[in-house]
Amino acid sequence: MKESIIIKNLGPLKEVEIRDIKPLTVFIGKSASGKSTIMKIIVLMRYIYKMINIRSYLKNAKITRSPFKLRFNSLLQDGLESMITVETEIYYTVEINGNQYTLSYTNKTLQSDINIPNNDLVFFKESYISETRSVIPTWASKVATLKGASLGFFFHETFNDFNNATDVIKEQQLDYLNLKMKVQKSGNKPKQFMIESLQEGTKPVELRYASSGIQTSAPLVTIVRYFAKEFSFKDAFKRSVLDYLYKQDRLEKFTPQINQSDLEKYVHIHIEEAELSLDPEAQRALISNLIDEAFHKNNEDRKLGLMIATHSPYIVNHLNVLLRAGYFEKARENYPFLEKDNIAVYRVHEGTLTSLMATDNETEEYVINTYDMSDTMERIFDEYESMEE
Amino acid sequence: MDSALIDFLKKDYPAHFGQEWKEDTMQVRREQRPKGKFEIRDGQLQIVQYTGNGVSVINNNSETDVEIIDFEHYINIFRDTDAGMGRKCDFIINPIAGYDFIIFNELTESEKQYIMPFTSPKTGEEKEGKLAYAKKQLEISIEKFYSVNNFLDDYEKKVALFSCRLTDTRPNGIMSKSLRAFRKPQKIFANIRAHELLIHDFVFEQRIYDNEYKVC
Repeated sequence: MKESIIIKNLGPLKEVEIRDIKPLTVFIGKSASGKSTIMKIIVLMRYIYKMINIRSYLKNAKITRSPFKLRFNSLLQDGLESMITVETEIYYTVEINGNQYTLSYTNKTLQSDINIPNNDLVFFKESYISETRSVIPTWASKVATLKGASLGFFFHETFNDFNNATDVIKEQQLDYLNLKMKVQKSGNKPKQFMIESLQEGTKPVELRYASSGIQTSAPLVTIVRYFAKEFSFKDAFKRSVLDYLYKQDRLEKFTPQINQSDLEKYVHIHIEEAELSLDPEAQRALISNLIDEAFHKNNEDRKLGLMIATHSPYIVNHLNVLLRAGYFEKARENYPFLEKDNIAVYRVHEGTLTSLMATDNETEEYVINTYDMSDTMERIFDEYESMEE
Repeated sequence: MDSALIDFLKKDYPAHFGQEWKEDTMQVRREQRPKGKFEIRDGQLQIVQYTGNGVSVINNNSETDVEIIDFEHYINIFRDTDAGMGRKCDFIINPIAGYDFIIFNELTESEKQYIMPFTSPKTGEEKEGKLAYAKKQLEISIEKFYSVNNFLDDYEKKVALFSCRLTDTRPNGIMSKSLRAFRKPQKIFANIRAHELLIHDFVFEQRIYDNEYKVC
């Protein structure tokens, strides 16, 4: 399967094109350059494509009246709607088995009248992990008293994913911090998340009182692990399709030509600012952890995609280590290596994207050109030196 | 006899903008080099520098002499006219005969000209990264040619070369040591070619001094 996207005239984005969205896609760029906007549009289009697949699955199974009405504008959350103009264009294409399916949004209208044959159906699951995830521990402890309150659509998506993840995951290793998180639940009380050291003899601390780095990263690694291994497509299918058919009394008419277990399954996780509140070494260890979970320890029934927006030179430079590890047998044993064709890194600048992928002319190894990320340090040094002049 | 590129610069380019090339008062600043390695630098009396003093290191491993044209100087000849507008890269390098390769070369050194604190950049001031700036210089320069005709498509190999030399640091001093530590990862991208082509199918190459670019 291959995905591509074109976005024109949307907020800070003038013309953005990705011809082949890789399993690991990273965006760097200045604040307000549009990194998060790109991710939000991609997750939106992927979600719509998922719903079209479910609709097609039902139609192919003789259920012609779809439970899902795709109202694009209602999906534009957290300020996205204000970025749309009549000049906005979005084209999202999935190529599968040699066939192409394109969703297009032009003149403020979504064209999504596609029916996908059974052979080309896929099952997508989308997750967006917001930069506001640091509020999750506090929110989780007060959720009963905060009914009706909102911290924005994408925060609540992140919170719901964390909540679902911790219904299943009772203990989560936070190896990059030498800690672990335990989930405790009793009766009707909200869940408690306790942080313990991996070493004996230290007192556990509630997540909401732990350091900011723990509060932002614990939900992130838990959600990624959940979708890499624990998330049940079977249960999700039941919720999306079977329960609806049962309620509509249409189960008898349902004659699927293909089992949901035969559909190719993809989980796409979109992460804002992976590095939030973490020191440089912890950032490196976190990224290794996420890549290990998503690409090396994932359940074999699914393929994962990670999309990350970051400011961190430590993360991007560390990816060069994992990329290089893919070239050497011994390094592949010791690192969560990256395959060279599975990664793309882009700089978002002046409303467009520039790929930072390059090849070393001596070794022919793929590298990420992180030259720009050293500019600030060079400027600091030059200013420091110029004081004498 | 002038190369095809010099012909273009003296005839096609000025004519396109309604300008006249005046041989007695105008000059295409250039130097010629035979086979071998050499270093170049902008803003100097000579284009080609002694070893250790350049910013861009070129290895002419072809069988033909190459010419290094000061493109910035050339465009500045037409200052205050349409032909002289817009940004331009520093040098163009090509063989004196034939169309084997053409290299647009943008050179960058660290900024030493920072001014006193009261005029130094304020927090959040937009400052274009060196790589982005260099790419733009190169693309705008390439587009100047294509605005006239497709002459550059005659070349077999079209290259946009970004050459960078980092500030020399004092051997001691905490800031120098700190910067040298930060610079270590830069070896990773000291000699690379980008996967994504620039406009008109130019290949983007990057060299951190003193990594050389081989013309063939």
